[in-house]
Amino acid sequence: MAERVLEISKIYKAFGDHQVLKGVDLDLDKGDVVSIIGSSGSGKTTLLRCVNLLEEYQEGVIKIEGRVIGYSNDKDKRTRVNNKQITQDRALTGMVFQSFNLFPHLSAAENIMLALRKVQKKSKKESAEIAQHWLERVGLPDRGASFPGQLSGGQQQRVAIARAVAMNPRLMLFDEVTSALDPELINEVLDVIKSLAVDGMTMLIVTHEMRFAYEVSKKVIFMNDGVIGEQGTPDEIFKKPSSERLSAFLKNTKF
Amino acid sequence: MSTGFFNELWLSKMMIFRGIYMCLFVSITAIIIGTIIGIFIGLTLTYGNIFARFFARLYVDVIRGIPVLVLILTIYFVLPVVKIELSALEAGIASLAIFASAQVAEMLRGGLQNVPIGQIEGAKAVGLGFFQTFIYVSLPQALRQVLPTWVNTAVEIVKGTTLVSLIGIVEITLVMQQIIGRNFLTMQFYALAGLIYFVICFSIERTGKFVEKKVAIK
Repeated sequence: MAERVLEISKIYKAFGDHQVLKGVDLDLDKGDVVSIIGSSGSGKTTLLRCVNLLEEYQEGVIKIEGRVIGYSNDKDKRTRVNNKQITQDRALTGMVFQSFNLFPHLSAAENIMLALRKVQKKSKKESAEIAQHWLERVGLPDRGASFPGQLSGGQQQRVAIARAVAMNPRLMLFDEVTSALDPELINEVLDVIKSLAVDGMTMLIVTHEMRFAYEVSKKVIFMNDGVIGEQGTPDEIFKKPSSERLSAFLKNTKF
Repeated sequence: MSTGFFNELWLSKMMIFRGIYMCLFVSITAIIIGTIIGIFIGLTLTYGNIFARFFARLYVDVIRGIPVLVLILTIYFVLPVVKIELSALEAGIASLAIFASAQVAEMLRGGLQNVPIGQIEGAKAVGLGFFQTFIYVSLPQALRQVLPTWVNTAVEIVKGTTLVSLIGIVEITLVMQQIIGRNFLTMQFYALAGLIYFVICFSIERTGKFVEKKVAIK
């Protein structure tokens, strides 16, 4: 049986009175690539941020490799674990954001090296080698000395992906990583993600790129109003949608 | 200018050097102490709990609302009432340092809060803790933003040292008054005072600009 990497069960999350996630369950095995599609406000980004513990959630359990992250249940009381533990739990996942969030005062290589050195306590030399390795993997072997402001959006996002995977996470989270890019820069980023999929990286991808989701995913999740509206193989979701909501959503998106 | 001016200048050169030294000593000491205190208060303003923030905010707003001269006179003449007796030099440096600390605190808070939330989340996502995020991500970006304002404050402090002449510190302005009292070359020596202040302040500003360029985000 495949190794279970991520186990999300019955996540409920509200911002004030507004219930965003209303009981979401989702499992990912090692090497799974799962895409989440859905209209804005359906909760897909929030779900991803809960997995990376950037958001607190009121109910539910998230396990990574079988271990509960973010919350403890001592004495039957559900409490958020301390910041140190949060930081450690968060290190199990790598996240790439819509807005890149590269550190502008550090070069591309330094962006990748920072956490390798300060979190994983690797030597400068080893960190630099890892950074160079990943820069080559994302097709930017000679841009290590460039600063984010000197790179195109697509290049910045590729550095951001390199920065996340260099930490050797169990699971990669992609949050609409091409939404801020010019159309001609989207493919270079998607190609990098596809190559990670080929390598067997476990990935949870929130995206508006339907063709990409179709091509790269093992499973596609359609989120609708805080719950999973429909899920299945790319063919089932895109070719034979069973719910009206999904049909309507697909009709309004380009494929 | 008459040969009389240069003669007088030669005669008073040591006084002028001592005045310049005093001006620089008071300025630099006040800027250093003010910056250190200001950093602590600025951090309290940004990261402190609600009570700490309240008192830090009160301090900053009160100090920023008081003219430097009033601060100087209060510390020198009013504090002795509660048995805190400072020498003129101590009182002068303390006043300017307090003034600077409020400025530094406010600019540091602004700089730190202007670091986009995405930067903090990006740092968290790669596994940096709170302190590491502060040291390696927030602070370097905040400092770059704060630098020009901080240089301004340094210049304000240098100009503010003229005010400590009023409690008897013999800095550039008071030296000039003493020299003029002896030779009545009013225009010449006040012009010289202006020139000296200009050179000091201009040098600080150029140095600031130079450093700014050096560390600018590309």
